[in-house]
Amino acid sequence: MNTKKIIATFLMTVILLCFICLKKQNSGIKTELVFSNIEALAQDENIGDYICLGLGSLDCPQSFTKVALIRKF
Amino acid sequence: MYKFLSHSLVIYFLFIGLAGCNESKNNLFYNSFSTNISLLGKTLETDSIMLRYPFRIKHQDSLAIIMDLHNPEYFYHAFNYPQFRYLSSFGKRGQAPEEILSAENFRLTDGGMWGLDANKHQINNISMQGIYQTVNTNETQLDKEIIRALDFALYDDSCFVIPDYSGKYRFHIISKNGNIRSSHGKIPSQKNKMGDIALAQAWRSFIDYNPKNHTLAMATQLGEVLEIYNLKDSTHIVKIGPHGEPEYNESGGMAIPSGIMGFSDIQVTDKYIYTVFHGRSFKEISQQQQPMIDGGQYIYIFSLKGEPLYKYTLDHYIYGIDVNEKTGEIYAVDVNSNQPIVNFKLKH
Repeated sequence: MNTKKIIATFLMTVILLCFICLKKQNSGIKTELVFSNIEALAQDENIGDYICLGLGSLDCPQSFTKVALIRKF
Repeated sequence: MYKFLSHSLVIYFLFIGLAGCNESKNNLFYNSFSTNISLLGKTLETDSIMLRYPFRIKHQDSLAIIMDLHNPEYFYHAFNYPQFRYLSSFGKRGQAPEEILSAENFRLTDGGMWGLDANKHQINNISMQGIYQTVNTNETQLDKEIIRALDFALYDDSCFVIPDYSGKYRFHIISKNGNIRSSHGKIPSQKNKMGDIALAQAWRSFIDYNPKNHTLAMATQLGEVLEIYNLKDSTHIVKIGPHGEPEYNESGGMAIPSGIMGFSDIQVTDKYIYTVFHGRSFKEISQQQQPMIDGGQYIYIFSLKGEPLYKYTLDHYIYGIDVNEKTGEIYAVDVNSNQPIVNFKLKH
């Protein structure tokens, strides 16, 4: 009887751990997007009297990366 | 009698000439489209690959490729068409030989594809085998006088078209060894007559060329200007929309964008010119709250003579499009979504 209880508890623990792992993997995709957006906003290029911000499709002069905004000081 | 007739003829031709000038000035601008249509898109599932900033999408036969502008590993991602089942990723980001520093655009051919790397200043030819497995890439270094190539189109079997970056011309025909064969046109700015790099940067345009009708179309990234060159009869049409020509401030010889984000893609088919238009001011873009939206909500369709025909208002914000007139569909890419591929059914 005790053995059966132990096996049942063990199986339920394994199932619970699998569920937690799967949930973390799925939210990892969203988390990665959020972090990459923050990283992109932080990677501002400051050259001359203008600043290039974020990730986008504008060609930042001199640094030649693609940014979301180019702003004059 | 003779004097009367000759004077009448002179007055008559003067009148015709003046009327013609007025006509051509009026044709420079467009204010609206003949038909306005709302389009709902259908999102395709693409869980096998994570795209960071899908910028361009094109297909040839049963192969589709999406170019990701900001992917940390690979720029190009192959799918089967039209199901968009993921096949492979290629075009590794990096500085080593056969790696890519900055992919700008690509063109598919029967045997493979050509890809433009602006920061390496070269065009790469990747064979079809290379799309499925890594093989040697042929690299063509571009003429230094091009300065910087931000887009390209295939002109014929031996040449490319590349927009000019110096401000002196509008575009160049480049041979496949990378040398400038000929330079054409001028930036049609009404406000700035000085053709310099800052003007060329502000007038940076996305291009497409259809060799069947010899039509080269250029749409500005800033402002709202469409240009159509016929490379056979050398005609040039300029169409300026309600948001006007590109606006910018100059700093250290460089253009700092102001005004609005304009067009982000263009495709010339046998019948029409399809463009993606944004129309959002940079002020609005910089002040928007989270979640931030990036992309254009409109597809503008022009005739091959630049007449504004159809304006599609979408339920997605997109960057690149791939038009299939045979099936009446457009596949577009949406950078705001984890499922970026969207299908729209044309209604014209």
